[in-house]
Amino acid sequence: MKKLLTILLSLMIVIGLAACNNSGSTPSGEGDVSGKSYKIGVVEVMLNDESVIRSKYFKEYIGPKYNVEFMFSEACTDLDSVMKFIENAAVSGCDAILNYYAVGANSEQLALLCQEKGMILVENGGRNAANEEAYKNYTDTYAGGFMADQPDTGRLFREYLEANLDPTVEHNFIVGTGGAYQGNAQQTEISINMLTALQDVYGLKYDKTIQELIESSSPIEATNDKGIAIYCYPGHATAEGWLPGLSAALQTGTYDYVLMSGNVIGNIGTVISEAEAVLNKDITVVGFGSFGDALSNAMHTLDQFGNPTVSMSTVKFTTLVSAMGFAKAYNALTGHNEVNIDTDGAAFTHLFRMNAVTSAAELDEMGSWDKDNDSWVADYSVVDSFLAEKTPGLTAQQFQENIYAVNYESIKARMQ
Amino acid sequence: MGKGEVLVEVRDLCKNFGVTVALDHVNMQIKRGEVRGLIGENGSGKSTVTTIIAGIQQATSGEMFYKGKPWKPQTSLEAVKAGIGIIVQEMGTIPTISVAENIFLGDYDKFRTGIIINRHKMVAAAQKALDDIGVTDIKAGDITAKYNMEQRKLIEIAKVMAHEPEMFVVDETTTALSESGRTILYNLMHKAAAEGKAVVMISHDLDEIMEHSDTLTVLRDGVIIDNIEKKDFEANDIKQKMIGREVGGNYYRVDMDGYEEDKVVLKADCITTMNNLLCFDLELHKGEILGIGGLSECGMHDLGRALYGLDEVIDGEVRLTKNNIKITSSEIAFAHGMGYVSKNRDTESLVMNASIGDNIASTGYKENRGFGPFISNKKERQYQQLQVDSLAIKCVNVFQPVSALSGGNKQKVVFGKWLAADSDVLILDCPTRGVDIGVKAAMYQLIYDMKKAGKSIVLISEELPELCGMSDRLLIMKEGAVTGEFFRKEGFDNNALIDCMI
Amino acid sequence: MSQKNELTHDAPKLTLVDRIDIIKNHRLFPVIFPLSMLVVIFLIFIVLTGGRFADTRVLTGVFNQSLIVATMATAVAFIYSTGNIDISVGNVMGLAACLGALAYQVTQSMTVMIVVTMAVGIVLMMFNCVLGLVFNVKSAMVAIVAMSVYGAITSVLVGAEPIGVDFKACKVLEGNFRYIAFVLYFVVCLLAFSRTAIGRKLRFIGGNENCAEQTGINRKKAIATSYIFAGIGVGLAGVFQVLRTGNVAQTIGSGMGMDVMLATVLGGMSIFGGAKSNTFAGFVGAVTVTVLNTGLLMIGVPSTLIQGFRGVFFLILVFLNSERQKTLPSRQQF
Repeated sequence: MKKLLTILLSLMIVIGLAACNNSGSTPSGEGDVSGKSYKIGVVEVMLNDESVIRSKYFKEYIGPKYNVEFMFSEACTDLDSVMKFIENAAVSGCDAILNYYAVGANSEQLALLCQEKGMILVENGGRNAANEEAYKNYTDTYAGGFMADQPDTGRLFREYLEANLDPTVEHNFIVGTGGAYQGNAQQTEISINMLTALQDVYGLKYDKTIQELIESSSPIEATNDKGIAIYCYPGHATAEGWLPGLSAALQTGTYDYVLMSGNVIGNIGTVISEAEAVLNKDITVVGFGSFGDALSNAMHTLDQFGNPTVSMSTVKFTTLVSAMGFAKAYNALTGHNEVNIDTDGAAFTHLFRMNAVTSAAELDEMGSWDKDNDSWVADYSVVDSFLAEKTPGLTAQQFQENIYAVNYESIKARMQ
Repeated sequence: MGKGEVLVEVRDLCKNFGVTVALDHVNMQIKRGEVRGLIGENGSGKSTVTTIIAGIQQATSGEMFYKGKPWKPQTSLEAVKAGIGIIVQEMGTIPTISVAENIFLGDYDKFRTGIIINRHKMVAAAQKALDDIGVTDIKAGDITAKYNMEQRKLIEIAKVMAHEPEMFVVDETTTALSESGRTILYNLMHKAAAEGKAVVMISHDLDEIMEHSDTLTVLRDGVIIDNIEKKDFEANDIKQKMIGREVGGNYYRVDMDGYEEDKVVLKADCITTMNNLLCFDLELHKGEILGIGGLSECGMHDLGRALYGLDEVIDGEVRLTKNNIKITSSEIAFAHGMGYVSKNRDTESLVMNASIGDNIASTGYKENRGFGPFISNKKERQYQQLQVDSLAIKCVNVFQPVSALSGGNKQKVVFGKWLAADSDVLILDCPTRGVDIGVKAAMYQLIYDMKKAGKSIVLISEELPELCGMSDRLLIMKEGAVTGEFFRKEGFDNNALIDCMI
Repeated sequence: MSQKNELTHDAPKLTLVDRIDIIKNHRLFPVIFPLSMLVVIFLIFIVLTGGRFADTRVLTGVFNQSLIVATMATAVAFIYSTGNIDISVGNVMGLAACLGALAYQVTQSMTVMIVVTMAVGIVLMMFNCVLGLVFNVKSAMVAIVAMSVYGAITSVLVGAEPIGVDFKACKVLEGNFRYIAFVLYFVVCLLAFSRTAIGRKLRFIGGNENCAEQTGINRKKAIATSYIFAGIGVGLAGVFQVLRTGNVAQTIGSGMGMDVMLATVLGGMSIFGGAKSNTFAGFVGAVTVTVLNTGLLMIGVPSTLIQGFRGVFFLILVFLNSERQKTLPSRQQF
């Protein structure tokens, strides 16, 4: 009886799993690029909205057209699991690896591994001191990185603050510096720009340098000659004690602006509304974000003062970023590696720009794009403009320009 | 309801365990108003029949009828509810719960209001159940672990009787009971029979079963050999039917051989332990079988443990005179040629899931070494096979797990382990407990052979005939002290022995 | 004799369940079954991948990927066999690797790294052992505490950025050194466990502690020995871990205690120890896990489903491996 039950249960799981899988349609295999087909392994770090969209985009949209097969890893949380996946991808016949688990220090090692296995490696990240070797000495394998244009992201925040803060009205700020003290590029850039914006708007002068402020691993008051309270609060929302610490700072009643360099909108919502209710005071939130329920709720929900919980955020389009990674690998595979090489002979890092969102309407509009095969932001025309095979004479710099050309206005024009 | 009416009938009952045939087309009728004895060697199928009737396990094939209707219980609870109870051979109580909870285990519903169990009511009912069987020194509210093995057995009896069974089975229960406990049980059995209920009694003890049963069924190798009426009971005839061959009436040693009285091999010098013993002295001589007797709780079992270094000796010392070694742990005792057979065979003397060979070889890790620290396969196999052969252990091969063996064969494995070790000093605590007469005879022969080979043996036993039959010298203990010393050459006087015990 | 034949002739026929039970109770079943399951899975993947799975590259990959868990499981078998459970081994390995990597950063010497990692592995396992034996705390309890303490120390020592060990230096040792070290350790364990008194005593203790004591086996000594053997293996796994990735991250080794347990069970050994314990179950189990991972990926099972498929496989394997030995009724346990 027990045996029967076990077998039945096992069968149920198998059937259930198979049923889940049926929803995905198989690639037709009829690419318009004749000749060779390729296989690319994708190292995923987390299985979330983004990875689901990427998987759908690659498998259903990119795969059939460019004759490429994709293989995705389980969520890789350490270097060992990344290496295992790369090894297994190699024996499964992959020609390239798209690595979303990019920790600078590992690039050379992974490049070496891919070189041994005869595969191209593209990483979601940029050039820095730790991976200099990979960028310089492995250009035949290492096709470089792709990432957000961090200074530009910082600029979005700076410009927003400069445009929306009235120098004559005094506010007090919490600046979440996130992982800037650990060298996180995005959070460093955003933090610097936020602090610079405050400096410019109020014409104040910090007692310490901005670099010192963002490099502090413990909370630090950015004392200044204008007496504006600016509290630099480092750390990640997932760290123990981070949220209570933020809550305590808010409950002092001093601060009415929360500027966050990390993607923490989903985490801080409750703390903010609690503080607003207790202090009966409007708190404005500006922070890095991403498409999804968290940001959507924050933009749509009005607090007791009639303002959205989050006033401004930045978002990116998953398919645009994914297409960049794919294009870099594809260019290398089709013998157009020159598109991945910078003028100094090292691998090229391609950048994309984030988009600022300041209202629910804007968010809804952008959020309606990049949902399925009819609305991908990086459609065939965009992808073609990234590929040397489709755009004869393409250079690394031109590739970069073509990425920048995909912006809010151009997408909007296309979507209509 | 009349006496003589058939209460339970089994027809063509078969039971297999893998290749082992435990029951082979057994037919049996159990009638109201009788005490039915079931006798047979270990592994003959006695317990199998009764556990099938009581729903503990299911038959492979065959039919059963209870009160004239087809009977096929799936669980023991179902059987209990229908009026069939069983007092099993092993411990059937859970030590960590209260006596009352044990008595009504799985049957708390009648004390339940909604989701709440009325403990007072349950304890009161349990106390009444204990009173009903004549047990007064157990409190139903106490935790079971507080009571000793005998008292726990009485709790089990109360548990079975509390359900007022139409029929109940007493499976090898008396071995765990003292005289007073036995009296309680015998009275219950006869009272039940007189009230027109049915009782099935399983025992190794021929005298006991002949005295208390009305009809006797003899089983051998899963087959019923004979049904005998009380008037036809004859001990040697029954033995012969059980074993399938002639057995001499006398299986104890008959010689009057002495021992080396001036050569002490083991000496306990005023030892005190946390259990029972206070400044206890003892000398064991070369070639001596030293019997230790007394009531169950007199401290003789603790003495055995203390001599072998299992219980901590907090004052005084135990010494082996040969190398003047002080015994402070079983490791030292073993290393210097001592051996110990526990009275709890299954829980202490054997690794049940290990094979016969592994159990025997456990004493020979040192001797069987071949090259360096490595054990020689060949030597080890010889070491094992020698014992299996010379003790005639019934098994397919030495790889068979001991858990699949019958009680007597298990005990043979235990003996084999120590025979192989060739220990000079052996402490045997109830070595023949739960063993049928065939094996018993073999054990006694072995003990005698060891004595003749110059080994020294401490024989701790609760059975007086065995002690009288085997000992060169006999010490009777009471409350942790020796109350009498007797010598074989002077002859043992049963009454004098019993006087010392009580 | 003739009567006997008649009896056997009359005996009821064996049912299928009986026959399966006989096979399952065979003494070699726990050895042969997991191995044959591994072979079967292997053959299935060879067929499904059209032979690609039998490629040497795949095979070396499988071996490399199994190595760390296999080493750990071989080590921990010594502890499991006595009925003790230690789930902190992953974190012990992590802390050992962490200190080894730090030692490398100071000295730039691979030898120092190896020595420090091994030593820390042994010392920490002995520490676990002493806590359990001296204070009479259940080994599982000690391990739970040790797990969080070692994990915490590791994450403090490592900090946000992984500790790097020159991976090129690691690469030099990665090949032959690892194979030789592993094979050496594995063979020593195999011999010690099956052919010397050490292993016999451990199994005996696992089978029945009382009986072992009465047979003159010193439980504490034997268990201490088991932890030393385990410590060597865990230290070695730490070295392998450093050599493989060339760095030590904050989360190193966390959760590996469970992987080791899984490998042991898949290999056909009970984590509750006892008479049927062995030291190769872990290796077989670890390889089985890797073969499944690699094979499922190679035949194109989507990553989102691999976990589920693996779970079902494990469920079936564990079910088939599990031992429910029937005993004769007179020994029925209640």
